[in-house]
Amino acid sequence: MGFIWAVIIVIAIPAVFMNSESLTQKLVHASAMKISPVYTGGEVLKAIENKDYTTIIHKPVFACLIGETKKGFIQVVWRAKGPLPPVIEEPVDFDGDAKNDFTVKLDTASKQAALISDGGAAKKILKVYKLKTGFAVRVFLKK
Amino acid sequence: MFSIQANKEMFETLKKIALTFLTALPAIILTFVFMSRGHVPQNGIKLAAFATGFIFFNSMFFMMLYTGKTDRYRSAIYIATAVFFVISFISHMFEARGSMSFTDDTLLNCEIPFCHIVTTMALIPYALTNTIIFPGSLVEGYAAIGSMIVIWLLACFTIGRGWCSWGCFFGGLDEGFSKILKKPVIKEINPKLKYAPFIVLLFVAVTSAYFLQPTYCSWLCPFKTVTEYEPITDAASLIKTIIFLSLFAALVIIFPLLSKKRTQCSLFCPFGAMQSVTNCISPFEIKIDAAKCVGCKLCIKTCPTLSISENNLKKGSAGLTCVRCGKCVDVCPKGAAAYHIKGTGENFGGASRVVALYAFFLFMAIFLGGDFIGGVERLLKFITTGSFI
Repeated sequence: MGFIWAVIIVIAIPAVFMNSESLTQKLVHASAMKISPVYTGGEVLKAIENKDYTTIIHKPVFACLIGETKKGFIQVVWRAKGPLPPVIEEPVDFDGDAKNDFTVKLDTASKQAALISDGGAAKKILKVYKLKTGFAVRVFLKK
Repeated sequence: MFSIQANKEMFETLKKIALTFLTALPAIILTFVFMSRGHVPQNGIKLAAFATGFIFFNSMFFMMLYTGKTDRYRSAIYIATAVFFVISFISHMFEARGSMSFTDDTLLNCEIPFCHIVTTMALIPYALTNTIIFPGSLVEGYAAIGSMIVIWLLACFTIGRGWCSWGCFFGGLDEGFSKILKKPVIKEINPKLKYAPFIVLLFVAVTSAYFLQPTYCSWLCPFKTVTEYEPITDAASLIKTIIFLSLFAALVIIFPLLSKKRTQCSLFCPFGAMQSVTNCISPFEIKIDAAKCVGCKLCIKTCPTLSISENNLKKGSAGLTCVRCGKCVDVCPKGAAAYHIKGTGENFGGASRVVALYAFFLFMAIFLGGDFIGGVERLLKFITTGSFI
């Protein structure tokens, strides 16, 4: 019995490697596995087309192991279509109440961003990311 | 009379070579298919790299079968693969992004290659949130998460912690340094330290679940020295860099060199600890025949992962943390230590060894063969053009 099991394993090794691509697809599909929003920035809430760039606003992320945490972030990305303006001022409404929740002022030359908050959930700029085709910022949120 | 004797010996040798070749033939065919990926490369450098890899792997396997020695030839493949993996990986990083440090783009676009060690930290968050706490690609691209998980699952059910001697592309580095000196300068390491990786595993699993980030990768992994790392932009990233460089120097270079033990793998790696548990599922093990054992303790002294103790000699098998490298089998003067298939009674060595080696070698050749060939290709490119890229 032990030998049979061992021989099956010897056969299984090349068989699995041979089909690893389809097995990977099946595994990811069947398990509904996703990358944590901590890394992807979360689902996209909306994309706004501007003349020189596209603004992509993600949904707020309050990720934790179980349920939601009180501290999170929201990611805003600017994808350049050509040269970016020296300063981008982006009002963001993430809760869908038709009122701006905060504004991000991005200086594309110095790669610095400032937060203009109305005193709501947005507290500070967490990080500015310089991308190949634009910029991204993460704004710290506290419920 | 002399001539008849010489002819007989020659005939026996040729017969042994032919039999070994026939035994190795299925592996030769399979490795040809996998290493060539279905077609032999036409380009000069690619063809030379493929031929080098194919011949090297198979000649080492042939020697394992022919001589009855395992570790010497396994180790040659394992160390060479680690070196060529590093060459291949770093060249790849420079080609893709011009640096070993990752950029904001690679982070936000989730393009970081996934390494098997991350599974130790990803399992709890995945079970509870259905998400992987790593900025990599699930299916596409280099070292995608899904494909590494498939390979890891395969390893769990087949070679168990044999992964750490036959599958890990990092392990050959500390093993390489552990083989440099003939005799150890540090003669004894407290055997209880072999449980340290279980503490590291617990620590990184809990902290990663709490912070939803792979803490071992972020703060501790020494192999970032030879793969990729966070750029130094602030105090935290500077501290991280100092930590991983220090750990690499200590655990991968200095301690293996002085103790002749694989200190990173046996005293620190959380993946090794987790993989130890899968030794219970794998059908292959190292048995020590009490009837043959003369108590010389050579196996205890030479085990690179501190996996054999006097207690193990009494029990008749290597410990849970055994990496199936075969070193104890090679050094045992009485042939008491042997590869064994669970559930086959007193059937030590012989066919059990051949079946076990087939499983281990096929895993190694198919999984690591590409890295080896990739590294050789980069090296040949460097020799002929002056550039690795």
